[in-house]
Amino acid sequence: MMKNEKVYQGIIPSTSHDVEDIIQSVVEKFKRWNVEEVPLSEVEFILTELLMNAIEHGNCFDEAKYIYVYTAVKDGQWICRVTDQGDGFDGQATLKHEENELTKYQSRGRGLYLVAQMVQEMRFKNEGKTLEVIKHLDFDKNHFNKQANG
Amino acid sequence: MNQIDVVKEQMYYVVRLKGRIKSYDFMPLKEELYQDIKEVQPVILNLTELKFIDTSGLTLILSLLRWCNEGNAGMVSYGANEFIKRIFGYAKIPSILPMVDTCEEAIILIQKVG
Repeated sequence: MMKNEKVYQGIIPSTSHDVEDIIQSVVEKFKRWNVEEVPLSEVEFILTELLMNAIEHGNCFDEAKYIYVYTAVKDGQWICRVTDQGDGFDGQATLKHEENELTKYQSRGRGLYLVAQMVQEMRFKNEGKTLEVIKHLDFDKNHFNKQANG
Repeated sequence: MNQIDVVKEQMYYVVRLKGRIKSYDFMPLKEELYQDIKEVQPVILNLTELKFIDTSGLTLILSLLRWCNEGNAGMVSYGANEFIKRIFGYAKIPSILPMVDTCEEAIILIQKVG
C-alpha cells in the first residue's frame, strides 16, 4: 500500500448483523484516518445502502453467499466498492426507476438513487455484481503524507 | 432505546422518532407506530432527537404520510438535523412533507394544513 492511501477491506455473509459490524469498522477507520471531509453519517448511509442492496438484490438474502467490501481513501477521493455473489443487475435501469418512484410512498427502492446524489461517480462493474462509488474529498492528494510528516 | 413514541393531543398526534433508524428496525417500528395511532388525525413529526436514518426510515415516514393523506389529514415535520435535511432533500421529501424548525411553527402549520 502506498503511503498516501488508506485501505480497508472485508468479507461478510449476507446478514444485516454483519453489515452493521463492517459499517462500524469503516466508520472507526475514518475516525482514525482523520478524514473529516466526509461526514461520518454520509459514510454510514452510503455503506448501508450499498450493502443492503447487495444482500437483497445481489445475494437475494442467501446467507451462504458473501459480500466483499473494499474502501479506500487515496488521491483526494473516497472509493467504496461492494461486490456480491449474485447474478448481477441492471444498475442504470434501477437508478432510473428509483428516481421515477421517489415520492410515491412505496416500501422499497430509493437507496441507490440517494447514494448517487451524494457521490461524484457511481459505476456498475462485473456484470452488475460490483457497485463502485467515488466521492471527491476536499483535501489535497498528500493529506496522509502531511499527517505522517506533521 | 425506544426509537418512537406517540402522544395524542386533542387535535393531532405528535410522533417522535429518536436515535438511529436503520433497515432492521423497520418492521418493529412500523408495528409500534400503528399500534399507537388508532384514528386519522393530523400528525406532527418531531425529528429533534433523530440522529440517523436510512431508506427504511424514509419509508416509515412516507408510509405515515400516506396514511395521513388517505384520511385527508395533514402532516408536518420539525427539528431535523443537517444530515436528515440533506437526505430529505435528495429524496425530494420537502415537496410533499412541510419541514419547519420548531415545534411552535409546526403547530401553527398543522392548523393550516391539517
